[in-house]
Amino acid sequence: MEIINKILDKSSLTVLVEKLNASGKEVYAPVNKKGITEFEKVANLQEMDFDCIATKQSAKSLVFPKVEKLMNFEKTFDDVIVKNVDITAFPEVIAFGTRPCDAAGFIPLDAIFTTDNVDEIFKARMDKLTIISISCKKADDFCFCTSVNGGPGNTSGSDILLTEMSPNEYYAEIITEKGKSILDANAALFKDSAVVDKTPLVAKIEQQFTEEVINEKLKTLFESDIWDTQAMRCVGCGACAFVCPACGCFDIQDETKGKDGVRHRCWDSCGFKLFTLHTSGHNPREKQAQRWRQRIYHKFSYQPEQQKQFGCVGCGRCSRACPSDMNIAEHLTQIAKG
Amino acid sequence: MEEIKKIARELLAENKVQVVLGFEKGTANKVRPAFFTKAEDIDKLIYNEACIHNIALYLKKDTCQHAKGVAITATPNVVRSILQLSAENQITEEKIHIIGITHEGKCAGILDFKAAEEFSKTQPKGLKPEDKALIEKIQAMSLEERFDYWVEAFSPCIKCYACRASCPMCYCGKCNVETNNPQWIPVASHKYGNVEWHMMRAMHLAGRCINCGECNRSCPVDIPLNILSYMLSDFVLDEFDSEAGLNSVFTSALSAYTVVDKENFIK
Amino acid sequence: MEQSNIYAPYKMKIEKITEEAPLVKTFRLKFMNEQDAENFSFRTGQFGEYSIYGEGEVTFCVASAPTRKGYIECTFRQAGRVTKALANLDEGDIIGFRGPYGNIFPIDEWKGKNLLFIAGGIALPPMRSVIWNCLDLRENFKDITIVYGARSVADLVYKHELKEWEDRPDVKLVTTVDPGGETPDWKGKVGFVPTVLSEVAPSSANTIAIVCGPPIMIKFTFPVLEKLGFTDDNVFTTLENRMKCGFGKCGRCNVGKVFVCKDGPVFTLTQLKQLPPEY
Repeated sequence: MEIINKILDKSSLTVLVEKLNASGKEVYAPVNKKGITEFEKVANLQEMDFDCIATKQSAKSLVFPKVEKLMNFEKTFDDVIVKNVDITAFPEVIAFGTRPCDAAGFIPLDAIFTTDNVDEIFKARMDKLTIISISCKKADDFCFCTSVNGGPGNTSGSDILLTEMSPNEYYAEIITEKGKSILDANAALFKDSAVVDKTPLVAKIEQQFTEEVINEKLKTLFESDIWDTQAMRCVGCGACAFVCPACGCFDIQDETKGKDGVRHRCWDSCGFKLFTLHTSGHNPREKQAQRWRQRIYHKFSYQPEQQKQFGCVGCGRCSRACPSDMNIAEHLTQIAKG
Repeated sequence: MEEIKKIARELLAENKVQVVLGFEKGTANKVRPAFFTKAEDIDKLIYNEACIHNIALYLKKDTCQHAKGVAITATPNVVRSILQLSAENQITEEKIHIIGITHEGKCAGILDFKAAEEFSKTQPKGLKPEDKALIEKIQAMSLEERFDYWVEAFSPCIKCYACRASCPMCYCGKCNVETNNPQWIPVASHKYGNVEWHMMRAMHLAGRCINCGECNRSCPVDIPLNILSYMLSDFVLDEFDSEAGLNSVFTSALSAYTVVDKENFIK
Repeated sequence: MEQSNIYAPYKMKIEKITEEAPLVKTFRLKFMNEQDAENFSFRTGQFGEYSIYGEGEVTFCVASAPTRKGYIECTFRQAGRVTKALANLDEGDIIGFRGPYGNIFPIDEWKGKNLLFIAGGIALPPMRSVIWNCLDLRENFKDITIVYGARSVADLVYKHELKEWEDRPDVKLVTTVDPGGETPDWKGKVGFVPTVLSEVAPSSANTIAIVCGPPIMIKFTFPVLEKLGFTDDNVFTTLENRMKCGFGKCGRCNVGKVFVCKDGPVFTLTQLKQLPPEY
């Protein structure tokens, strides 16, 4: 649909969040708890941390939680009763105050779970998610969205994008039908507006490389020793993958208690040795460098080819979270220039 | 600093070592672990108060394992880890050249393991005031309150295993959490999956942890794992008069017996 | 309302268990829900996720032929958590199965050709599906040769079927065991599969070769086939990688840009040579 341009006062924004809550929707927004800002359920806007450049973890857990029940089962004397998850019971969720990169992250994630065959559980959560993002006024040394086709005022992935025009006023772009339904239900809060040039209102983030160049370079780099050099200080944890808005890899695990059991889907990471280890002991990706290479190739070569979609949105979370300062933008720049 | 660089340069130039393990400038004002293989690259070697990563971790990784000799810029915590790794037969003295750095950031020259033991014993062990406060807060709790405190503290864990991956003492080829036959620890990072994982890890580190705080530093969700380890170390010191990271030979409290052990735990 | 769930397995009853070799068993599985049985179909080469509720899922090919209706079979060796739990089950017990997943052996394209099957050890099961499939449609193919080797005589799987193939005039079966694995009354060959293959030296003219086995066997078999004049397009194999989902989502079985679960597991040597060696 064509973007609808509106203006929202800060006071109207406060009312909007309260009304969304009152309508039975669960509103999640960045909240600073003990020095770490994460997406948490909020009742009102006062709880929100507007200043945060990027939450520590992405908003992906709203549709792809760290542990997701796939089914329950109950063992009886001579049978097993399997109970599906009731996906109709999933709540309507609003992701509020996400950054444009967070919103963009849902696109590759959705491509993983719904291309070819549809993961109904993921889709049900995604269908019930509305994303109201806020453009970035500032960025830090880890941000590189402009190098991966994004931007601090980019609309892709968001249902509504808010951009601060003054401390009391937000420019609201209503982007999708989901966004429009929120507008329609709260029409009195929104004022009409012309198209606003967001450039002076958002952060300046220098472009370091283009995804196309990376994609092109990767065609001949598989056997390069660059992976050994880059991955040397990688400790092999899964922090990068778990905080990434676009990483969708998972494990499936059963747990039982007495005769009752549950099958879970849990986050998993290509950085772990166990990820690809065969029962025989053979491991196709034995070295950490091979696993690092897989991470880069998956996001910048395989996903673009399979899904016409890069698997990175330039939020920089992986680099912020890395215990050994593996900086993905720096490594990609190195690849682009190499 | 210049002294550290000079030593590092010489060791590489004389081919006594093939790798110098240290730090270089990282993103923005960060520093990062670095591997130097050429004397001329040592210009990039840095050391400042931000260099708190326990780089003894890398002694067990491929780059160092494949080198005949390795030098490492070692703060007291790194020295303690090296001694503990030696005590656990994970590394040998011949291969490792410790370039000691005191808690004040001064070069202590090359330390052999004997000198390193002395260094380790004489360097003060620092506990940050906020850590001290938290420990006191936890100690004042009843056992039930403590358990609830830790269950709550572990709840944001996402099982990225950064604590394990950045811990020099977590060198097991196959971690207990990865064995599934039987499945000791639930893989899922739900409430009890998290509790069991961190409890298991804490128990496996009791008496072995040198309290460098890497687990907490590397945790993306800031779980105070260092406090858990510290309290266990304190307990082991109290009950077994044993402290990790002081000796280069085997002294593990939980697998060695001495007649002076208090054996309170048996009662 | 019944919701669909791509992770939901079919409920299967173990109808028959056959002990094949030390630690190796074959299960014959029947759908417990008749509607499932009617709707289900698969083609040779495909695989599935077999599950024991409470232990987890494990990936095997369907070892029976699609021409044998009404049941599926799987053959496995006890190794990990789930296979050990499977091995403890009895006839009549219930397990889960979801599938079929993956691509197929293009046997329709092999009409009028000679077929050469080369298998090693526990890799005969994926091959057995296609062998029986082709034998059940015997008139479609010319000469059929099977070269099968295992570490020892005891480790040969499907012993009764090997006998059946040996007795058939329209199949040439060559069995071999690794040196030292023979018994006093062993009548087959002694030697590694690639060596025996070069001795048997079937003609590559109008012939399709299908290779399944441990990585080391495959590695040494390809050069032998090349020497015999097989072109890469006429050599087929199946890859195995660790899998969880079976449909290209969980992210671990990829070899370069292809998912073994979705784009494989069947590959020609031509395709294999275009992939990085991550298998």
